[in-house]
This record gives sequence, structure tokens and C-alpha cells, in this order.
Amino acid sequence: MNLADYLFEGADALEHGDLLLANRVLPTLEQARQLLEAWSQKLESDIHPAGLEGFDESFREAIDGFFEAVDLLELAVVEDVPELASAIKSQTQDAIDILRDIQEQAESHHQVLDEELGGRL
Amino acid sequence: MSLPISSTPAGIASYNGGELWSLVKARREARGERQEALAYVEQQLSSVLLGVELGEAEQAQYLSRLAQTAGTAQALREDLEVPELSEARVPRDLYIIKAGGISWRPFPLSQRQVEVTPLHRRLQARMAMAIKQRRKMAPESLPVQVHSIAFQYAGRRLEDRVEISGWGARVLARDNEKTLPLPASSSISLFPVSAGRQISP
Repeated sequence: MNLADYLFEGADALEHGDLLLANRVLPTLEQARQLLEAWSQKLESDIHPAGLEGFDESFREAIDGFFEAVDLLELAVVEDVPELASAIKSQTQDAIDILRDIQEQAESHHQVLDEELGGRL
Repeated sequence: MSLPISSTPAGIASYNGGELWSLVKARREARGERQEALAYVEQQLSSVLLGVELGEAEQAQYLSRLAQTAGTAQALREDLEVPELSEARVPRDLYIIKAGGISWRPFPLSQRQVEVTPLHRRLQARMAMAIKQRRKMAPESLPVQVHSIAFQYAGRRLEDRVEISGWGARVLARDNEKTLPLPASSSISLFPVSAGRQISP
């Protein structure tokens, strides 16, 4: 399953009062951190050209949002604080919204630029 | 709404109504800033599109980069693969018990998919009465009742046993056994498989 679904489902489980087994959840969260770290490094080493720098900042925010949600889920499981469920969902949703915005903007600009270039060539 | 949280690290030490509102406001502001960042991209890209700053070859590079950016955003949203959560998720027995309309955790039990049947309602009433009577007696003189119970959770029928003693109810089965204090107005959201078997304390 993808990380966003995992975080939502984890928060849902907490809201429903279910037990999340730390010995199974924590290794997964560590794996998620490594994935996010790898993406973070990849994005930092391949920054956008002039005019598109805003995307770099937005990607950073999205990844930070996922990191935050992962940390909150870990805290909720380790410290038994299911009240954090809504914050986990909120952070995850924020990260998804940012990524959706980036994708929509990039696709929209791509389409416009494609038409522009097509007209000139 | 107040969600008291104790024994948690600094930063989330306590959520109350005001703090939750601050959280909402902070999220809105963050979203506003994000929109500004993306608006900046749009503004800058307009210059690119006008061809004032860049030639056609460079514009083609932008085209390629925008496709890559859209793909990256989609990948981050959909392709960060982790193991399934279901293996780590265990329904907790304690949540089948509701005391005086307030669950032992600050979550509404109405969210639980507890099957409500006429039998269920009858048992609720009977147990509430039994607990009221017990409160008037010395705890040590009370018999302990063990009820086999069943409840519906996420489409699955689960069975368990609950011990009702002088001071409260205790889930006997499963590995996360705990004792619950039940106030006099308690009702128990469960229904019996073989209810009411009495054993000696």
C-alpha cells in the first residue's frame, strides 16, 4: 500500500480504538522515512530551473508534511496517544494536497508551453 | 471540544479548543503561502512563455522538466510503497464497553460498528441494572459474573468474555487485558453468546 493510505488507515485505526502493534508499525515507519529521505535528496540534487523554483519549495513542504505525519503516528503508537489521529490525517492530507497542486500546475504549464512551442515550430 | 493529552512530549503536550483552532489557522496560512509559491511559478513561467528570456531549445527543456515535475508529484503521492497495515492492526476488546455515555477513551463509540439488536438492547439494560445494584453493596461480597459476548466489528463477528465484578468490568480474553471503572449509569454495548454465568469471586 502507499504511504498516504498507510497513514490514513493508521489514523483511522487509532480513531476506532484499535491497537497498532509497535513491533510492526515502527519498522514500516522507518522504511517510510528512508523513502522520504531518498526522495528529498533526489529533489535537492535536481533543483528546478529559473522560474520554476517555487516547485522546489512546494516539494519540500509536501515531504515535510509526510515526515510530520510519520512522526505523529509513531508517537501515537509508542506513547499510546490516539488523540493524534486527526493531526496525522491533517498532515497527510496537506502533503497530498500540495503534491496534487504541484502536479496540476506542472501539467497545466506543460500543456500551455507545448501549445506555444508547437505554434512556433 | 477539549482533547486533554497527558505525558506527551513538548509541542503536543495538550490540545484544547484554542490550540486546535490555532492549528487550523496555521494550516490555512501555510496553504496560502503554498498558493503564493505556485502563483510565483505561474508568473515566472509567463516570462518564459513570452520567449523574452529563453530560446526555443531552452523552452523545450522546460517542457521536459515540467513533465518530470508532474511525474514526481504523482509518484510521491501514489508510489511510496510500504507494507500493509492490516497485519499491525488489532481490534481492542475494551472498546466494546461504554460507561454512562462516555467511553474510556475520548472517541465516540458510535463510530464503532457495534451491531445493535433487540437482544443487545435487552442485555444493555440488564447489565446497567446489575451494575447499579452492585454499587450499593460491598465489593467483596459481590459475585463475579462472566459473560460471553459477541460484537460486530468491520463486518466480522468477534467473540470474547467480559467479567463484571464489584468495581467494574474486565475483558478476560485476548492479550491486552485491562480493568475498566464503570460508573453507576453504565451501559455495555455488547450482546451475549451465553450470558449471565455466575462464578464465585
